[in-house]
Amino acid sequence: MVDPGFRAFIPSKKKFLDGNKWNDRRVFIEEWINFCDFGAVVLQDKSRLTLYDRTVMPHLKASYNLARWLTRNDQDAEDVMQEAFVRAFRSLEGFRGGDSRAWVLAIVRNTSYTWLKRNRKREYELPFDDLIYDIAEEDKNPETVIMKRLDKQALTQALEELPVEFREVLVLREIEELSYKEIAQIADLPLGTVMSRIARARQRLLRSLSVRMDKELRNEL
Amino acid sequence: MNCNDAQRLIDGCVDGELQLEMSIEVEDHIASCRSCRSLWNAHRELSENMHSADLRFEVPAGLEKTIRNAIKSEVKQPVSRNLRIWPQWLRSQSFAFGAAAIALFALFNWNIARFHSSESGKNTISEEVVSSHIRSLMAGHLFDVASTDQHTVKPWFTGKIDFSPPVSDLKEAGYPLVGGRLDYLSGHPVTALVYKHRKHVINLFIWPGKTEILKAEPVRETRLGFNISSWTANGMNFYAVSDVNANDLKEFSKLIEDGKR
Repeated sequence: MVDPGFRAFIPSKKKFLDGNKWNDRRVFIEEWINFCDFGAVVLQDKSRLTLYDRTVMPHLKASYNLARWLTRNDQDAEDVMQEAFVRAFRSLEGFRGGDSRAWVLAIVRNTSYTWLKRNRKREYELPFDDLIYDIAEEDKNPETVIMKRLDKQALTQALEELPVEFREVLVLREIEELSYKEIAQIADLPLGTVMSRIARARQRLLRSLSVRMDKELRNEL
Repeated sequence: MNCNDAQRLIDGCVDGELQLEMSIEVEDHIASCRSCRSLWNAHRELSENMHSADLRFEVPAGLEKTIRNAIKSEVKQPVSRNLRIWPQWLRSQSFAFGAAAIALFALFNWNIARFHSSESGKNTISEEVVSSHIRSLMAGHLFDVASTDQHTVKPWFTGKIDFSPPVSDLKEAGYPLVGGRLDYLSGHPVTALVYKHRKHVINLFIWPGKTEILKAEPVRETRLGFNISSWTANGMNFYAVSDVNANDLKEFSKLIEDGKR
């Protein structure tokens, strides 16, 4: 989700419903002036804050979780969050109803990626191509790790080691419990890619977990 | 369904994202294929583990406050300045003044032009009428047919023009008919009837058509010191021009109109 950019002038209908001719004209002129100034109908500060509290703030928890998983660091996650939430406030006009969680998470995700490109260039620059991680190249029959109870620490570590593109789909799917459709919207991917990416992400996670377990077993021995 | 198809769809099945038929097909395959079953089991168990492991990072205590403060300062500054569509120079005050000045100047000129054009456009007929009136006096060519008898003047025009002008003698009222002639105004042959009022000459131009003027009541104007009275009646345009005073010309116009009726 990016800034809404240019929009045609559309006076807000709700404010026009009080039937007062003069008030209608005043509202129209006010909005026209705002439109000329900002290129979009800009909400008044008060209604902006109300709208913000209703659409953006409820997703603070999910947003922070996503930012934290993508940046893998508390402080960086907070920076990204601040930037993303100010961006969401600025582009409130770009939200046109619908799934506010997906809208906010998309902003957080894009801000995180921008941040990663800027601050972790080396890590991010690794070319990511779904084809490179073709499931066929990975072993189709992993020795099934019977995980009666995987401890949280091992899972967290393994997940953090995944490339960010895999990490994000798993975080959205397993922690936020979002549907493929929502994930597709947030990560700007086709629906089919979401499914195959989740498949590969799980496959890699399983492998890394089994390697980890092997090591632990060896250490214990 | 072969193993490749199944493996592509296994995660959709685990996540409950497949359509019912598809998911039944996948499950059928899993029931019969050992390797796919183990893959499916592994993915399902991983998913369940991740759900129950509670991998969520909790929001730090101060974050919400920090964000709210950032938003507050955002409200104080004008918001979304970067969204504006007009470049800076277009928004500057001097530009506004300049634009206003240009607009004012254009409006002024336009008004003048409009005034002039309307002056000239509307009144070409009046000008021509006055010119014709002066010419008739200067050249001594006042009439082609000299007669005070309306029954002589009227038939004279027959055959020379394609309309029949109303001719009436107003001798009793002090406006004797003295003659008539053919004249030519803005591309039309017109009838010019000549009347006298004391020493003054009155030229009455008559031609058919509603094109030029549409006035039931006589309209008076003054050009080069001559009074003009014009009106339209019965599809004829009437222009009376003379150096008599305006009131006399008005009376004359009225008499012509009444006499004609």
